[in-house]
Amino acid sequence: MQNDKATNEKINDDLLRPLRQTGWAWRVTVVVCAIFLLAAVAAFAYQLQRGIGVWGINRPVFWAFDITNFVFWIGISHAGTLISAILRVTGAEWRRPITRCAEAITVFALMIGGIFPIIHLGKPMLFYWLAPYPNERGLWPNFRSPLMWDFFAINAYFTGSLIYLYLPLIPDLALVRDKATGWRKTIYAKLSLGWRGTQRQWHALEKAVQVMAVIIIPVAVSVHTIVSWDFAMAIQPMWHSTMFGPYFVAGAIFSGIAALILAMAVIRKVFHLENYLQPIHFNNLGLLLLTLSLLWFYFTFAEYLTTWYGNEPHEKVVFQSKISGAFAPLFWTMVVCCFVIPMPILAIKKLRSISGTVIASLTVLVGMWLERFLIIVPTLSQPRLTFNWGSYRPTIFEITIAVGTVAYFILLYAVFTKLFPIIAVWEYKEGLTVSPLPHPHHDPAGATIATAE
Amino acid sequence: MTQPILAIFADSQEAVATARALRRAGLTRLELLSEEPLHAAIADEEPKSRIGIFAVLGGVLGAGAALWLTIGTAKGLAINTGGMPVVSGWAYGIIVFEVTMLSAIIAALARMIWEAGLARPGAMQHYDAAVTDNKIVLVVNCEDEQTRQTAEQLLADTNAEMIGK
Repeated sequence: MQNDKATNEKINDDLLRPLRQTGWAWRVTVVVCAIFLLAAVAAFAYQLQRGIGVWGINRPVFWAFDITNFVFWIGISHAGTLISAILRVTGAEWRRPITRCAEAITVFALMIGGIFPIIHLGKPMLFYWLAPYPNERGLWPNFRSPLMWDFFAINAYFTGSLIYLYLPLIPDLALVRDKATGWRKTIYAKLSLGWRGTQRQWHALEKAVQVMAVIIIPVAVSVHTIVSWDFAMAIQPMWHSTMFGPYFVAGAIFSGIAALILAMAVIRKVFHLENYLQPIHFNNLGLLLLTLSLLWFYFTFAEYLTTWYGNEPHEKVVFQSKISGAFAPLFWTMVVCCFVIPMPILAIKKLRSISGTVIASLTVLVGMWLERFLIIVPTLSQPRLTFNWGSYRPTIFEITIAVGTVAYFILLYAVFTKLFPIIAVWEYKEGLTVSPLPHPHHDPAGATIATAE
Repeated sequence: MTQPILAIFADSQEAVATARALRRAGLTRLELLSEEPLHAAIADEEPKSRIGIFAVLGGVLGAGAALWLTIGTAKGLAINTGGMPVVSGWAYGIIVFEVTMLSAIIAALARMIWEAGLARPGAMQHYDAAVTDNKIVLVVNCEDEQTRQTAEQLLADTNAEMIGK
């Protein structure tokens, strides 16, 4: 039984409106983000001209802002494909309006995350030397290096996520194709690959999405595990830990869900999608965020407890610098942001509202960025040989590039919402026919209900 | 083969029932076009999918390629770095895993495009944009004039909003 005509038209109107109309909020966002992005490009150009001496990194801190941002963004990328795949595999009906918001985050976060190691190379134009292909330089990558694992893992995850985003988009591209005119129609016709909506096509699509959901989950887990091994494979204080893999994966999903909640809240407000992204979605994601907050605290406690109890001198130095030394303000801010603030907000049902989950998500993102920074810099600044200790302070160029990439992410996301329906129209409609959950558009008798919140 | 008949329905249940009636009358070359999956119709058509098998095959191919890329090239070049073994199973296993999964995904995508008949010339033949207005389009491919007449008679007895070529 399909939805009635009025419901169908209302859904099409609501979900395709962002493609047809451009509001002032969208324009302002794009202009502001473009300005920050240009500033970052200028900082990067300056760095290319003057060399990486313009950064704050110096012996022994060779990894700092760029690698922090790299780990942070790869973590954010776990918002989408992984969460979407888990929800699809488990058949969670409430996933329907949020899967595309999430999958788009993955693709753009991976694009941004992938930029940082390239920037960090110092000579980014030579990044293709990482690729294994016969060349006249006689170079061949060392497959034993965790950095090569990153190269393969991120490329596999990015390609998989792009395909996983694209497949369920095909029927919606066909919908836009049929509603568009002129050159837009031509472009959407090409992108929709001649989709007609035969039952054979639907069956193939659903089967492919199921298969890919199953494949993409281990890939997503492997990606952040491999990123953690960039550190864990080194015999450095507080890096050489067997639990770094799961610790990083949990942290990645934690920050990913926070990013997803923020993105959903903005989309909901800017595009007036209050009837689609409902409090129940924020509530459910809030519960997931709460679980991850507790898991993050457990991992952090286990990691720091074993370091403290082991009392190994080199590890203890790094440990103390975080607990009560130079990095203590950042460390305790991290604990407050990742656990102290979000935990009660998310645990108390009354506070787990849309604004509550947004506040919790904001603090989690700040806390998780600090966590990445605190994994990298304190260890590097206090290596085993004490004569070699150093410190690190970011320069304006590093900060500008970091802020610019945040703007770049928002810009990419904003452009995506203008070109493609940010909520999967067909999945949402299918949900109305199969889901027992009440929807504001639809009552069991099929009558359209007022769309006011 | 004559020109197919397109019938547009407002109600999916009626479209599915009409398709069943046509099948019973011996017309099996039918297609139901809809803007969301019609699970009853999918069950009637019983389409076979080999996407899973192709994903596995793609994975096996990818694993083979990755083994060659890592072990094959490492042995071919035999560069000693820091006294470490030229072939490292633990390290290479990670790359083999990633390439295996990537190949499985690409193979599943390729098979899905093939099974769905996408991205090929004439993919949009026999289509009506009413589908995206929540209508169900029934495409009846007739073998000859006799089956065509049968189909037209059966469709005439339905509440189809439009019947045409």
